Amino acid sequence: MLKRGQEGSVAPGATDRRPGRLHRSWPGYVLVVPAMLALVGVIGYPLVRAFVMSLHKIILIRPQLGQPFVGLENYATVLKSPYFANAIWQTFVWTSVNLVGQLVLGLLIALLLNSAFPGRGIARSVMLIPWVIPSVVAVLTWKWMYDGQFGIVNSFLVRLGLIEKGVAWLGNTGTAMGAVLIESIWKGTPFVLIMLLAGLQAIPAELTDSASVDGANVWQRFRYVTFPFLKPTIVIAATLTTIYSYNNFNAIWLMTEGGPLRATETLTILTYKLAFRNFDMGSATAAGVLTFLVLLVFVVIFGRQYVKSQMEF
Amino acid sequence: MAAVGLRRRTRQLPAMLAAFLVCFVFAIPFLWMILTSLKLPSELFTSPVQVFPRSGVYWEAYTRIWTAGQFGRYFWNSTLVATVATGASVALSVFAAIGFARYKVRGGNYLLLGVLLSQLFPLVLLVPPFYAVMRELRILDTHLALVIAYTSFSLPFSIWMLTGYFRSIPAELEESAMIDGATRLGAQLRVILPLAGPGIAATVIYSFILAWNEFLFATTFISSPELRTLPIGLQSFIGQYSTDWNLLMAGAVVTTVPVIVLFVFLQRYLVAGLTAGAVKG
Repeated sequence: MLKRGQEGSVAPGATDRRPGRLHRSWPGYVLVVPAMLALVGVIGYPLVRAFVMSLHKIILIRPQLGQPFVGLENYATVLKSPYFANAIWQTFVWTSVNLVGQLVLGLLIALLLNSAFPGRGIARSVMLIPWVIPSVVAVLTWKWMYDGQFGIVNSFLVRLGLIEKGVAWLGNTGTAMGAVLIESIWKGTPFVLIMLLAGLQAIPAELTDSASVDGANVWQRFRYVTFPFLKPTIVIAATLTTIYSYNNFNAIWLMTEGGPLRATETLTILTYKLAFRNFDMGSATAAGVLTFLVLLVFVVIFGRQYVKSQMEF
Repeated sequence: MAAVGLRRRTRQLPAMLAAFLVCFVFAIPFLWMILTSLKLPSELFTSPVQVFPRSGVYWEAYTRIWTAGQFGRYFWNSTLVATVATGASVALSVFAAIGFARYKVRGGNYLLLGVLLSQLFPLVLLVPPFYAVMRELRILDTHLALVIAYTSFSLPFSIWMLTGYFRSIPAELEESAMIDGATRLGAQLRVILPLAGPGIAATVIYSFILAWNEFLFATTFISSPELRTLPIGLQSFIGQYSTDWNLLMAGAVVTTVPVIVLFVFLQRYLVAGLTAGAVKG
């Protein structure tokens, strides 16, 4: 133990001043408060304000109407709207396909990159490209690839003989969701992949080795050794993927703006449209609060799964 | 020995081929972006699509974006907003993380948890109230509004990451610096900061990329064309009747370059920071 403070100038709380211990608290508050104020000001207060707004009728383009208190009327309007039901369904499709697609692809590629072969480092770096590219850049590139007349996707499929002439992938109600999903899975998989790869590399090699000595085949080694170890990481990756996809705005907005005919209109897009197309801030914030509540249910379910998977160790 | 090595190589071959194939498929959009920017505008609109530029590499799109239109302005706006927001965010999170890691802050763990949970809220829910507040403060349609927003958006990750880093640095180091006469905070800043270099590097890259790429707030709060940041500027290349894809893709490449450069330099820190929490279990 270090001998310090013999001057006696640090009298109060001196018993607690061994190295490695936490110090007097007031400088701590001084250090923490600015960041907390920033978070409260930019995230906390607006959230409260959003809830208050959802209880008022606020039409931005008709300021003469004032902002009368209407209670839960905005919620009733939103819940009764057929567009809300549609948005719930689109959100479900959007989030679940993103989740399954990114997890399955991410896991397969992580297993692949976890095996030893020359050029593995380069492969890992290349796989990160979609994640690193700014999302607006990525989306605009895909939009160009999907172009109905001169897009490479159409050209490729025509050459393979799968279609006869160009399809406007983003302009058809039947194909728009699938087309945006492919972009989103492409963009999101690398992140899942990094997380899972890190999880795989934390598994002691002796475990899989001894399992294979015991005669376990590839599937058995994965099922009984790798998977149980990886499960907590998978649950976290699944939770993050769910939150990110659920709240995704850029991909859908820049490719289809929720169209055609609301075929890709998720809750996020609906909320934004209510606010900045209809200028109905009351309904928009009500939709936003409902959007958040739906997500919360998902996250609680995942959270419990995570706690359970942790308990198994 | 050679035979064993050869046999191992042969066994690795399928994995290598599979990895190459997967990488190629994932890289296609990136390659297509670059190829499009290097083709003559007339070569873009052919059917069937021409993959490689036929009449030599066409570099002019890269000079034209700086002269035609406002791309240079957008680039400067993005640089300004991202740099200021990054500086502010890193300063705030360094102080907060020292506070959490080195001092007793009542309810500190709950605060940290709250910081993390703030990530859960849909950003789109924040847009209408943020719009109202910015209008009341009369800073709608200014870069200040974006700087304020981006600074706070990157705080949660930065605070978490740095708190973890600072906790892993032994406090004895500061204690000995204090014997040499430094004040406690002075000792912390002098001793911790250099050691936390990788952590700080990761928060810098994270904050900068977040601000550089952000689209939703920028498109909602900026209406003056001369104040647009790159993501909004790029989108404005999409014309109502026709789009100059050649120019747009050159702009896309130029927008991506700073991010890739930052990433190449700091990749290992960021990946380590992002995954540290996940693999602990």
